[in-house]
Amino acid sequence: MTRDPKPDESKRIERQLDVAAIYSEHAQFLWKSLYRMGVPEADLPDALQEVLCVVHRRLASFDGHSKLTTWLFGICLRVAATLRRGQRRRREQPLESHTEPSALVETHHPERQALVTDARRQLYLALEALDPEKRAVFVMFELEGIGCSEIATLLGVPKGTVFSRLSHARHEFLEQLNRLERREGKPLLKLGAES
Amino acid sequence: MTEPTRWLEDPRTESSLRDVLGAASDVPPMPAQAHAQMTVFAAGLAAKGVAAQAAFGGSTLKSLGTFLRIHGTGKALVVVSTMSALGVGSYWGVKQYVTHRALATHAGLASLPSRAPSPGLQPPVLPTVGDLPAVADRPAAAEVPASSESRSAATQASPARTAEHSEPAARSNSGQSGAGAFEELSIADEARLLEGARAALAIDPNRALEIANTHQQLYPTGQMSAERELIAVDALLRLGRRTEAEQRAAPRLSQFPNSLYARRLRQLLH
Repeated sequence: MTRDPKPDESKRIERQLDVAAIYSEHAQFLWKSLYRMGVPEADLPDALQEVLCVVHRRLASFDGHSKLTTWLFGICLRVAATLRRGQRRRREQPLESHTEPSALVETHHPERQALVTDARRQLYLALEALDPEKRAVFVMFELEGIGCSEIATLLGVPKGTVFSRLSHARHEFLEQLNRLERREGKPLLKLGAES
Repeated sequence: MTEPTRWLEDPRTESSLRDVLGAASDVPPMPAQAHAQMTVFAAGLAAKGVAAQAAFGGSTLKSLGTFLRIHGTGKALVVVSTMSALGVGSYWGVKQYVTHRALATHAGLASLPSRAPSPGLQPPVLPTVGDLPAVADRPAAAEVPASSESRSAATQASPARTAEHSEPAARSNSGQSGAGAFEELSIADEARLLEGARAALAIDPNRALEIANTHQQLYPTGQMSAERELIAVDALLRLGRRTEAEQRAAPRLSQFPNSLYARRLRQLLH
């Protein structure tokens, strides 16, 4: 049986660019990004599958100008946003996420809540208060460490718009945290951390 | 405009805010079974891309030329037929079967482009895997001149189909979705995983080996471990890693020297 002694260059390039190799390398990143963008835990596998479909379809359009993870995050962002829009449209089902804002006053899922740390709950409740555009910029900048220029390229908006959204998102995020902390009798966070 | 300082990098940020932001790293882990399913799914998509390029030109003649240089003309035909017979088409059915509530059913996703990159490779819409036609799905395979790959693929497809057929039909009506649907482990799950490995074998042996190793982690004493080892040895040989292939085959050859799998291993190794 004839075997190639080792994969040749063209095969190597092909492998670099295929969705399976990308998944193998970035599975946890994709999972985490979808979660941070508010995809409910139960929907994560489906959302991830959709992301893989989009990656496969659009791989040829990835030109290497941004980091691969930034490009992947952009896809996660859109899939998550579309999923959540779909959830909102389905009026028969309330908007669900891992934050469950209603659980603040009514504990519908005590066993699940018990697993969620206080900080994590606060984080996602505060993120939930942001509209999707601001949430995207906030998550990309503060949590994913993506630079404003890359965010601007990814979203197709001027850099100034990214700054503006980030500034508003920070204010709203802190306000929401303070609202939560007032409710729980904790000391308020100061806005001084914002630059 | 100056780039703002990230809160986590700003010394003025209060510790309680740091704690909240730091909680972002606290993400529920991906269930192993979901990871395995996605590995297979991604391998199927990737294999479909290569097969589509080889079959339909795509962007195109260059890709086809590269593909044929790597695999040879005959093999390209075998790969295309094998993909349609094993790895690609059926996986769509499998996925629909496993995740009853697919994203595509969400109203918001209706505007997304079709999942299939080529009209020629549209995934079949199948209510359950059990309904997959045993022969009708594979006309191309029947037309391809016999080769060790096609024979091997056709032979190895049988356990998977049998296993899938034997799975309780009730599961397709479970209404489960997401991670919950991946929690059940069965021979059908093993078969699906290895089906993906087989589909990748001819095109990307590295991927096939990765999937086989994933199977080994998930099902160390799985019912299809012999099948898995056969794929792994085949993949290693295709990668030119003969010594590793021989080492991997050795335990099975010594434990079950007269088994069908041992005979196939010997055929591969000689």
